[in-house]
Amino acid sequence: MLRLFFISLVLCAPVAGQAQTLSGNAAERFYGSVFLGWQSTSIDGSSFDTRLANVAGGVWLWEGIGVEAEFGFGYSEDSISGLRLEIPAQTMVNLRLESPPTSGYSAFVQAGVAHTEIDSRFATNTTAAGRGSLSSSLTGYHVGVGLALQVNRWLIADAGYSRLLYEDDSGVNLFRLGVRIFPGRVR
Amino acid sequence: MRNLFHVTAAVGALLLSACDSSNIDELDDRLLVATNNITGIEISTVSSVVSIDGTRALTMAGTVANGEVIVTSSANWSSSDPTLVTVNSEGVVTGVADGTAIITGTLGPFEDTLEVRASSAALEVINISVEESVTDATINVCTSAAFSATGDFDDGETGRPLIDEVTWTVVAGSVGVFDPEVDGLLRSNTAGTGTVQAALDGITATFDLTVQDNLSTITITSDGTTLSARNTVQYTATATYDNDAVADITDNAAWTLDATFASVDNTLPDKGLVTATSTGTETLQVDCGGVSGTLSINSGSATVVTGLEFEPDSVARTIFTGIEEIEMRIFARFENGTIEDVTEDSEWRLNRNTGAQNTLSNLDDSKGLVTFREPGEMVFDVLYRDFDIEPAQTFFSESFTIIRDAP
Repeated sequence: MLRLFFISLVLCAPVAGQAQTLSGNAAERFYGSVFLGWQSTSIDGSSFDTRLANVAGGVWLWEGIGVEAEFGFGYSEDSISGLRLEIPAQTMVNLRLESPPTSGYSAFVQAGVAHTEIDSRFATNTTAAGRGSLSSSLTGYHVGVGLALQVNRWLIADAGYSRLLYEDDSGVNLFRLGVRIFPGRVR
Repeated sequence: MRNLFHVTAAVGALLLSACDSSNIDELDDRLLVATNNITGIEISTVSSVVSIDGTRALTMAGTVANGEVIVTSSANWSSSDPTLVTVNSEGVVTGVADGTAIITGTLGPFEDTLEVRASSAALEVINISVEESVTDATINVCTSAAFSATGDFDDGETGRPLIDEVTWTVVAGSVGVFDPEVDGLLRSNTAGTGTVQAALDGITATFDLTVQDNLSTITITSDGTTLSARNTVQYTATATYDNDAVADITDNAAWTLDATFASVDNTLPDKGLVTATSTGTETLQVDCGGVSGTLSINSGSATVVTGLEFEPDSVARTIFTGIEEIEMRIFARFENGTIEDVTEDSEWRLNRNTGAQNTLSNLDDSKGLVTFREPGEMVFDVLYRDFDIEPAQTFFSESFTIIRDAP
């Protein structure tokens, strides 16, 4: 999976090379976003699914190059053989590289770090029930790819796939849809 | 651009500092407990006493509905006093200094403890005993005897189990061999009188054993499955004795099969397992205690090919709309009902092809790939021969037609 990470960096390189300073006032550079997604988290060969809500904030440093921070949380839980699992928090810090729009569409890649928290507890009908819950966490890398549609000057619709790479055969596949809003561009 | 470098450096630093996780091993253990439906754990060992600088393996068993599963290496191990007794991640304790420590093993939500004592006492005497079913130190030839050993020490301790620490050998009379996988288990194969020895730290003890020459017949039976190429059959050797006793001697006997179409495993734990590679008939032989048993075995009809089947089994006739690739595969159906993909083992030949640019691949790793670059009709034959079967069978052949009409 690290190959995907390096491929993403290579894909980003041409965009970075064409970086242009943004024109206009600084407020137009900032954006916020809201996403809904589905993710599959695998740990040591076992996996569980979660529906995820996500908010993010970012800023364009140059045209097509930005940094952003994300926070998400699972709003559904899953179980593996009676072990209930949920994602109370998932955070990422990304570098975003986005191509110039063509017919309103842009492609983007993201690369950064990710942190996933996992809560587990045994279901009440298992022998291990009542043995307490356990909070675990994974920290690793994040690479993502996606498509963006410029709806209007201050609104962009995004569809993306992210892969979170963790140690010990653990990882996350995340699919999501959402919007980015540039409040500084709203007239 | 300088800002870009700063941001890139910051993100890079974050990337390098990533890959830190917490409590994931414990979550792994919880998943192990959940997926195996483990309801409890228990630590066991041959003896809870370990010599200074000596080691002893602990075993952790997880209780499941139909028995137990060994989870020793998945558990987390700790010692209440590592200055006396240490324990590693595999549950092996080592004596460090005289004294007692509590060894704790955890697996997910479960925990068990065992008190382990480290002792510097010197071994003075080894005592050998044999399982209760062996009377008068006598067994039937080709059966087994399970020995145990305990030790008496110079601090007054007696009866410490040593079965996994002593070295077991037959020092007189070649009546059998000790199983390398089961401590203290002697597998007899020859009648006579032998002497068994247990040795540790220069101390030895012996036990005289009589192996009776009373084997009457050996019968070979199969596990009921039909032997054929691509499968195995476990055979069992059963001994009948002069005193009408009957015993399974599969693991003590010597197995031979002088055949090119099949072989028999003569090593533990797979003794008597016959694997066939083609068809044939030969005699399977087992020897023990000077008696032989034989069985004629046949590897046969289940390997006969009864037909070939394409996948997809039909390709709709359509208008040519552009370059099209179709990955055809061919499956051999055998007489016993099994089906095997033989695409790469077959020869793919064009029989009729009206489109000069249309191709059928017979190259390795792409056999059966049909490519239409223009309208036309393609008829091809696939030939398959099962080289596993001796004598060789004739080729099997099947035809297939694909048509792409001009717009």
